[in-house]
Amino acid sequence: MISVFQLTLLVCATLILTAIAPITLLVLFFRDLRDGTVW
Amino acid sequence: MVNDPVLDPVLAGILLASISALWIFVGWWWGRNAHTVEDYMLAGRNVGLAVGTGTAMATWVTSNTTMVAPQLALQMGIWGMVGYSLGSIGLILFAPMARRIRDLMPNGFTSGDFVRLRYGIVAWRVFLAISLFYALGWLVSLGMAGGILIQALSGIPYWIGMTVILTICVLYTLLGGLRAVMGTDFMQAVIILIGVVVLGVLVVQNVGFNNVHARLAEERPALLSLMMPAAIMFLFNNLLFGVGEIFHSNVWWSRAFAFRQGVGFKAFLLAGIFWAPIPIAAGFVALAAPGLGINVPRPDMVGPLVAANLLGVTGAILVFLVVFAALASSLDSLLAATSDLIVEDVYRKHLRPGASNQTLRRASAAVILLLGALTWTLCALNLTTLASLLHFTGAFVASTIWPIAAGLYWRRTNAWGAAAAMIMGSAAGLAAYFMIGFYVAALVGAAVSMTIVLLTTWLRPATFNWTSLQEEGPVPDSSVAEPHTTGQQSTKLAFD
Amino acid sequence: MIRFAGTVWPYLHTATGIWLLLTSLTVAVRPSTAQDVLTAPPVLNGGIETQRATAGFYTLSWNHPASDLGLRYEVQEAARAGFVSPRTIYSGSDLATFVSGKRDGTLYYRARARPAVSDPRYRWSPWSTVLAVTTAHHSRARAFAFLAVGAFVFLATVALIVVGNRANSETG
Repeated sequence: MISVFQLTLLVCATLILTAIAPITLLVLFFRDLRDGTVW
Repeated sequence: MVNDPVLDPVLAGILLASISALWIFVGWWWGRNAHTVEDYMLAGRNVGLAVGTGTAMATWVTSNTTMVAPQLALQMGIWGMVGYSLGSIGLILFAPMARRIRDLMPNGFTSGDFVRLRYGIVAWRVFLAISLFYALGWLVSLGMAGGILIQALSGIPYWIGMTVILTICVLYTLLGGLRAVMGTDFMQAVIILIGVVVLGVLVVQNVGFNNVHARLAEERPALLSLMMPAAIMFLFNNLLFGVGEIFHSNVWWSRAFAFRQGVGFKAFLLAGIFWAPIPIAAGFVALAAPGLGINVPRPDMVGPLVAANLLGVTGAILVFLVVFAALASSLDSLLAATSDLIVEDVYRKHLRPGASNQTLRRASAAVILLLGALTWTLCALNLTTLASLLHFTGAFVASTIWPIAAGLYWRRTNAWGAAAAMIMGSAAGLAAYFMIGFYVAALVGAAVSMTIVLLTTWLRPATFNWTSLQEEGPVPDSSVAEPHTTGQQSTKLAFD
Repeated sequence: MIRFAGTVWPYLHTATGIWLLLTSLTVAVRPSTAQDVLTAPPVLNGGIETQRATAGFYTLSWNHPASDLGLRYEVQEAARAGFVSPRTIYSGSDLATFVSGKRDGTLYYRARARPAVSDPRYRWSPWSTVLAVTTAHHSRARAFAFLAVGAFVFLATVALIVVGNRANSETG
């Protein structure tokens, strides 16, 4: 059985990664916009 | 059986109407310069990293990711949700393949093109049958999920919700082609990710890890176990199902062809990494239900139930938007890619080989409409067995993994081996589905298919010439046919 | 019945009086109907995956012939058929609950109903017949066998792609 600590670690890591994702997407998008390489 | 709808139907109706108007406008706006078939079907083969990553990620987030992941967490616990997140491996493994595909076939249109040129007519037709069966199953499951979810969340009747979602997607896909699909996908990716984070954080704040763990340990101990047998069996089955879905489906191949040179690898890799945490976050929301004292009458409704219970109207709106974004981003991609497959592999290659650019452009539009109508008809029947049609396709799609992958990297794999692998793999997987359970069908299909590919490659090696994959595109409207190959790349393709 | 009629009698010549009489008649009629009907227990059943659950999860559902009266249910779970130390797993007006995460073994369930109105005259119905659900997880051996096959196919596929990629870029 996984412990409370392990559950906490798993979910926190997950939420952090999920939070980084949209930021990265938007950064990449503005970079593409600047370079004219959106599509 | 269940409680009152969590979202007021009028509010839901307004949300739906606003999104419809916005998406259709945006679709038309982005598609207004798509004149050639390459623009329409492949967004000019020039898509950049941001939109590329966004579309790959959003398309792979389906209604299943937001609804089935919580359900699996509640059924199978930790391995259920982590196992579901292994579906990201398909995207990650496709990254190097996307690069290889674009190198090998600079003028390719569909996955069908590859199989036809690599393996010949028989394997091609088997592959098309599997592809179209899977595509239709996925389309219908998405359409039905749309109707069911909108009804469960807001009380708006099934057939209205289903019709609205299908109509929106057909319209903006029709108007804008792949650019509209990808542009809306990008926006939907951002919505989904932000929505999931907000929901996850709010659940943690409201319930707390200690509480969740304690309630589970007391009432549902097997969910915290890492040795639960059904969950263990499910792990690699789910992974291989996902790999099979991505390796064969024209949804992903069309992206490989549409992305600018050098973008494919990074886009699929990033998309896989960004997709992976979503099932775990959604699954955790479900595991919090016992801790919150929420009764779950139906496991597939646990996600929305928790969100609405915890967050009231805000939560309900958030869930509504996330689920809509997940559905629409997959539906539009599927409509576009399946239409491409039918137009290129059925219409052009079987019926009208000399068709011009303009004819193909019109045919694409017609097929999108027809696909939408067919999907609508099947969804309107509202048969629960149809909703689970997608599960059924596991054996079939997993049987294509080795024929496709070996076909891309080994010149020795022969055509009969590939066809046999797909047929026998599908049959074995189906047998396993009925005799053991849904959670081993893809695994068995993949294993049998792999064995056949390995055996036939060893016993009867072929000598395939990679340059035969380079083929001319459709005739441009105003000029005589000219080779389209953009620079010879034969040195790069020499292999073993 | 007589008790109610006495209080409204003076007002019977007015519309209000007639309305009061009619409602009092209705109210007077209902309790005995509810009492009669709730001498019947609810019906507790499980879905296809009940009776023998191979993954520790199943859906319990229940209903009552007089459910249109607006009923509250109570569902109990116990480790023994005698319900010596039962646990209430659900209390409310839903008609189903999804049970999961159960370990190997047999659990017993029963349900009862009462009208949702809080009135001491409305008592619980009798308990439903007991439903026994046995959870028997797949054997570990079988699970690990499938895990091994799956892992092998997965690793072989990764190897194919990694090696194929490397060979391709070396000559490129």
